[in-house]
Order: sequence, then C-alpha cells, then structure tokens
Amino acid sequence: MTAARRIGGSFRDPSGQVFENNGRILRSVSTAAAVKFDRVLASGLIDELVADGSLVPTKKVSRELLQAEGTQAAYALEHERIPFVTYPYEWSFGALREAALLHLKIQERALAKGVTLSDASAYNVQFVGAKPVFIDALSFIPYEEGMPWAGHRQFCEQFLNPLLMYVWSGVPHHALFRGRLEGVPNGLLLSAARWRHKLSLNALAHVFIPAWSERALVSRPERASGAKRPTLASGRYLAIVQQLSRWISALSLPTRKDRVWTNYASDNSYSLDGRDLKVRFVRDAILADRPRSVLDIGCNTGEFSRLALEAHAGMVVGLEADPAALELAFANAQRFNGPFLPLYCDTANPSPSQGWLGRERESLNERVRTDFALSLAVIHHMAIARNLPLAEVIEWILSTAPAGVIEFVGKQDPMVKVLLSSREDIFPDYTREEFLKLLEARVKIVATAELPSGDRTLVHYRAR
Amino acid sequence: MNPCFPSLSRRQLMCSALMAALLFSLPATALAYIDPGTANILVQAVIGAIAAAAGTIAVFWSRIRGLFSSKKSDDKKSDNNSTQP
Repeated sequence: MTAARRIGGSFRDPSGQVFENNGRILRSVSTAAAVKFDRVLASGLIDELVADGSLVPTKKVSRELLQAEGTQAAYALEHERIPFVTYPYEWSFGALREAALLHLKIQERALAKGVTLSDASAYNVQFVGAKPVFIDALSFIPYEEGMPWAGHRQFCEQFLNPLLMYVWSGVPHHALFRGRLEGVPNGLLLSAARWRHKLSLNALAHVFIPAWSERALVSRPERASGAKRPTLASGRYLAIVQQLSRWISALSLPTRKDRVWTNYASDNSYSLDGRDLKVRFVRDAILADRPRSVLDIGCNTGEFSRLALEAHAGMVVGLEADPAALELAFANAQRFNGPFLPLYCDTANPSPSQGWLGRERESLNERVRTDFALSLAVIHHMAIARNLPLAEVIEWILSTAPAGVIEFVGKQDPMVKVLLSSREDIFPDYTREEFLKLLEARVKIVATAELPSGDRTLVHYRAR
Repeated sequence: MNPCFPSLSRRQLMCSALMAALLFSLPATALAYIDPGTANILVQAVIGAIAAAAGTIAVFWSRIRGLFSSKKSDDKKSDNNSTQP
C-alpha cells in the first residue's frame, strides 16, 4: 500500500486537506471542523445535494485511510473521483457561467437549510461532461442569523468579473485567469466598464460599490478594524444571491460571425466523400479500441467528439484554442448524449503547473490520462503555423494516450497552401513520408487511409 | 417607505445614490494590508438593500410581462376558437 499523497491546491484550508490513496480521493476533517460539519450533515443538505448531482458523492470514512497524514483528523470524507480535473482558466464562457450558477444555487439551497459556504472558490467546482459539480464538502458551515456573505469578493473575482470582462470588452477570461489564479480583480474590470454599465443596478451593487469600498479602505484602513462587525439580514443575503443568479443567467456573449473555426465543419478542403471516409475511419478505430476516455485535440465545435461518444467512448475531453468555436462546442456538449467537456487549450502552450511552489494547479500534461487521442487536422497548425518540430509534435500527441487517430495534412492541401502563402516555406521535412517514418518508429500503425481530395492521410495507431 | 424602492429605507436610498455619484470616477486600488474580502463585507448591507430592490423590480416586471403574455395567449385561444367550424 502506498502512502496517502496530499493533492496540491488544498493546503490553504485549515479545516481539512485532500489526499489520494491508491486512487481513492480522501479529505481529512480536523477536530474543530468536525464539530461544525456534523451540524451540516445533520441538516440533510449534503445528502440532498449528492442525490441531485450538485455535490460530488461524499461519504464519511475512517481516518485510518489517511494513514500518518490523518493523525490530527477527527475523521475523513471520501469523494468519488472526478474523471478529469479542470480549472476555470480552461473553461468556456458557458462553462464558467454554469459553474457560477451552480455555486449560487447551492448557496441558496444551503441558506434554506441553515447552512452557508465559507468561501466561493471557482476551483471548488469541477465538470463531469458539461455538468458542473461542487467538490468541497468542507466549505459548508452552519449559518448564524446576521452572518455576512464572506465569499462575496471571491465570487466576484472568480466568477462574475471574468464573465463581465468577456461580455463588456470581448476579452476572453482564459489568459487573465491563468495569469492571476485568484481571478479578475475589480481594478481590471473597471477599465472595461463603459458609462452604460454604470447605470445598471446589478453592476452598481456587485462591481462599483465594492470598488468604492476598497478605495475607501485603502485611504482609511482603520475602518476595517473599527466599529462593530458588519451584519447582514438573512433575507438580504438571499436577495444578493438571487440577484446574482438572475444577472448571470442572462449574461451572454455577442454573436460574432468573423471567426475562422466556427464554420470549419462546413468550410474545409475535403469533399463529402472525404468526410464520409473520415467519419467511417474514426468510428471504426474507436469501435475497435473501445476507449473509456478520448482526448479530442483541436475539437472545434465537437463534431468528432460526438462521433466518439456515439461509438461508445466513455467520455470525451476536447481541446480548442479558438474561443468562439469553444463556446459552440460547450453549447453542443450540453445537448450531447454523453459526457463531453471542451476546454480552452492552445496546444503550443497548454496550461502549466503553477501557483504556490509551482504545484498548486497541475499542468494539462500531468492531468491527461486518456485511452485514445483524436488529432484530426491539427499537426499542420502546430508544425507549420507555430514552427514546432514535427517529431516533438508527434511525441506530445503520443504522450496523451496509448492509441489514437492522427490526420496528417500535407503541403498540397489547399488549407496548408493558404497557411504557407503568407510565409516562407522553411519546412522541408514536413512531408507525409517523414510523418509516417516518425510515427512508425514509435508506435504500431493499425490502419491508414488517404482522403480522396486534398492531401490528407489518416492513421490509426496503437502503442507497441 | 419609498414608493419606488419599497424595500429601501430613505436613508439607504440616499446612501446608495451618494455612493453611485462618487463611483463614476473611481479607479480601484490594490489592498496590501487588509483582507481583500473586508471591502465587500463592509458594504454588504448596501449591496443587500440594492439586491432586495432589484428583486422587487424583477417580480414587478415579470408580473407586467405575465399580464401581457397571458392576455396574448388568451387572444390566441379566442382566435383559435373563432376558426373552429
């Protein structure tokens, strides 16, 4: 039996920390936290949220499972494992909005049971397919009349402000959030605010008044320690949560038709025959390999992710660098009959390990443990558009899964010709022969097919 | 009781209006020595009052819309009835 390993990202919480022991996800509950958490359990809230899928299945287990780490714990909680851990800087706008609404819905239901949340971290929400699920059972604490909403600022920085930044200025939250793991601060959001935003009661309450208060505190810090502790009536607490829910559920991105990738499925270089062959090839490969999980690299709007689900793949995680295509993919994912989670990812710069000691949030490469990788028409974007060495691109794709399908798009393909028309061709080794040679040296080729139009080769491979 | 914002007292309304007026030219400054959540907690009573007012407006607005939409569906129903042989 291996020792329980603490999972990065949970070290800040004095109530308890998360460990992994032989694939089981355990949360220690400190003696002080157990007194409060037992009251939360008695309210029936946890069972209710688990039953309707809002909270990850959670049960009380012996602290012995925590081994040496659990000597200070009153007991442990075991959570069902989330199949693929993701972070808010990888979510689409739609996913971040769903996560925000889940947090608010849980907060509202908790208040009805005399419980509240001690914080409002977006990292406490995970996704199973396109469905958000809350994971931090220990952030539920008993509510006492008059308690203010301690997590309001955190909610604004981690959910509301990134959404507003996107809607107000058109700047996607991914890079901002990845650069500042706490989310988007008010100061940054204010730079995107226009006059019309200042006329909204919602923005007044949740953006401008908190910003004013912050400024007042900077000039007179004694306000924070003086006077009596602020209180908030429970009716007003509920009104704040409900106002945010109404506002956030009405937020949407303006529709833009000038994006390249949103029309890709209907606007590419191959014919209908080619498309049918590609669909058949991918379906046969997935049916043959029966993967539990598929990584769709460059998933676009999720056309082939859906195909993978239809071919009985257990789940699909998509990676997409174009924010507009990603939004469509998430909207599709909500309708698909199976778990599909499209994520923002520039494959030339995937999420790094970062945060405290560089270990608080894991890199994408560390989290990817899929059975099958679909890399359809992405290699030329990496090798030609981004100047990445072809061998390294192949190495990276092969590192994500032990089997998969790669579509190689050659220099005679109209799409690659466009790519090369505006730049010097410094890629003498970018050929089908070189690609196959590099691949054959590393994996077993199961099947290949040439698409009838364009210059495209499909390869189904498996690890040797 | 204020007729426009029934859930706001006159004092809260004045306070909100004053804050709103002050805000139009305010940039935000980072807090270095104070817990960042404090700024929001200190003004939560005001935020709560505005949220309650917004809730009242939302209910009022949905009732107005409901009035029109139910009238419209009634109209439709009577139209359908009139086309019956």
